[in-house]
Amino acid sequence: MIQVDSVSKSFGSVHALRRVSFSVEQGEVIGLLGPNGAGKTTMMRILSCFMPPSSGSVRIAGLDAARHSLAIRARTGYFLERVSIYPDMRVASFLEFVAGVKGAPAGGPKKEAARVMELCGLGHMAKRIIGNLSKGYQQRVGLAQALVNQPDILLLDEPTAGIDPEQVVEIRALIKELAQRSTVVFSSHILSEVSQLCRRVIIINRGELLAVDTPQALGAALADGRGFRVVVEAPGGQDLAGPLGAMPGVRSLEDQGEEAGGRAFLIQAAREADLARSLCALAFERGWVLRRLEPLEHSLEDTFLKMLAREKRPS
Amino acid sequence: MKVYRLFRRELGSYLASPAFYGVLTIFLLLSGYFFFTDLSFYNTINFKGDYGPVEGLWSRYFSDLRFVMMLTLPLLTMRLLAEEKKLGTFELLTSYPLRDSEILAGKFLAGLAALLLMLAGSLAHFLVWAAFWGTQGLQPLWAGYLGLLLLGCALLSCGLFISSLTENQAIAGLATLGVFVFFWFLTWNELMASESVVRVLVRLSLFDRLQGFFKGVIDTKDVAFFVLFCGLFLYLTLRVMETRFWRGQK
Repeated sequence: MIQVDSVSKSFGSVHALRRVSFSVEQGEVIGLLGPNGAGKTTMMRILSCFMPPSSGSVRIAGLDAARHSLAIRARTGYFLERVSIYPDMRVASFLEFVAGVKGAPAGGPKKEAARVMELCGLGHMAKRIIGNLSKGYQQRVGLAQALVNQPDILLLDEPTAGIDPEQVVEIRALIKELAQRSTVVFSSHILSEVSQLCRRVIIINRGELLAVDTPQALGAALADGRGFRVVVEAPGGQDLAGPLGAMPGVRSLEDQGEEAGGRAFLIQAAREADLARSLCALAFERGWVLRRLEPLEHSLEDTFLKMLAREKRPS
Repeated sequence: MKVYRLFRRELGSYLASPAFYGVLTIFLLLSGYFFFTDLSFYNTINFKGDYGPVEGLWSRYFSDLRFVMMLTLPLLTMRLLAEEKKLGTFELLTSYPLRDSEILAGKFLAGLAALLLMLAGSLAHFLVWAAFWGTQGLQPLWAGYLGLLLLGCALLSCGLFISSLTENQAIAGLATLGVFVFFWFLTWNELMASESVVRVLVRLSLFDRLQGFFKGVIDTKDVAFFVLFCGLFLYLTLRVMETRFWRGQK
């Protein structure tokens, strides 16, 4: 659905993006991550046809963004957290205006405005002036305008920033629902939200693409070993730390104290070590009860920070 | 149709803004004041009945309206693009399937509609005239209003252009007023320039071109000048809107 090929964007001597390439499949929800100034906004602006790239090409729904900007914009919904919506307009009038300029489907702008208001829980706010709404409701109006005409592609820039937790949950649920029929490019600073909503993530830093993959694959690729959390029960107060630390491939061991009738340990092992097998053999040999054995997942946050730290390291 | 929707939104924004009613009030108060003083002056100099209303009153009154327009139009145009940039709504607008020219046309036409509302208010003075002295001699007024409308289009396009250069409304308003005053004074410096230069300046002057209209004479050269002036500034505004492609700003 979206094909970005070697896209660069420069503003004078400032290189906001350098040869960034990725693709997004139809119906996919993909997260765009990066620290401030990484080039996320520039990427979003290029995808929304606000500005063309300096070099490279962007194809959306098979159309070249440089040549068919109007056709692409007709199929795209764009939400920007930092942009305010006409504060002097009423919610319904604004959405009717958007539906009108986007070429509302059969039924006309009024019907389309009513549909998106219903979808975003704005029905009771239809007559209110946008400037008088709370931040949360303004976010909803922003989301509602992006949903007008059921776009094939949704570009959402920080859609849950600055709103209360209850509304965050509702908006996330809405995005999940929208992902059933639209391709979503989603940018957020809340990494747990990205890992919850997106199947794959794009990580960019200082205008360069660092990675495009699933959070799990990125975490595994970055990890220099594997981590496990075990809870072991040993009869007669046997020493646990010594034999556990002596297992082949174990790099470090952290005693986490009593838990669930046993003792909990965090074990970091070499990637090639078969820790489960070694641990079972050890427990059998010494008569221990293995209460729990769970691999530690790398959170997207860990992955993101590791990736940025690796970038900063002098080569 | 899209231009119409943009126009309606923009005009609605004018009509919802107390500032517009302030501008309208100032325009009507000043135009009423000038009509009263011009009428008094006309009555004073015309006690023998030597002057017709066209040269004795209307021409003078329209000349004063030019001045009122010069003062008030910057207050109409200053927000047109500067406010969109300040709020960030310009980026939102460009994410819709709209050409820049459609956005510009919607804004220009809304500004024009606001100006028409202001000028329509000034028609009340002629109704007062007609009530007392009948409609005889009022025909040249249409030429006068056409002249003011053309001047208004030229000033609006110039103000729109200046509004596209900044996101600060106050700066846009002051700069527009400065440029309008410059055009007003353009032909006042006869002693500073040679005769040939003054002749060129007179040709470039916006405000001096209206004398023919005010006397009921429509010269196509003057109409073409205003249309070209307006077209030039609208074109320049479009080019400024396109700078987002390489400037990386709103």
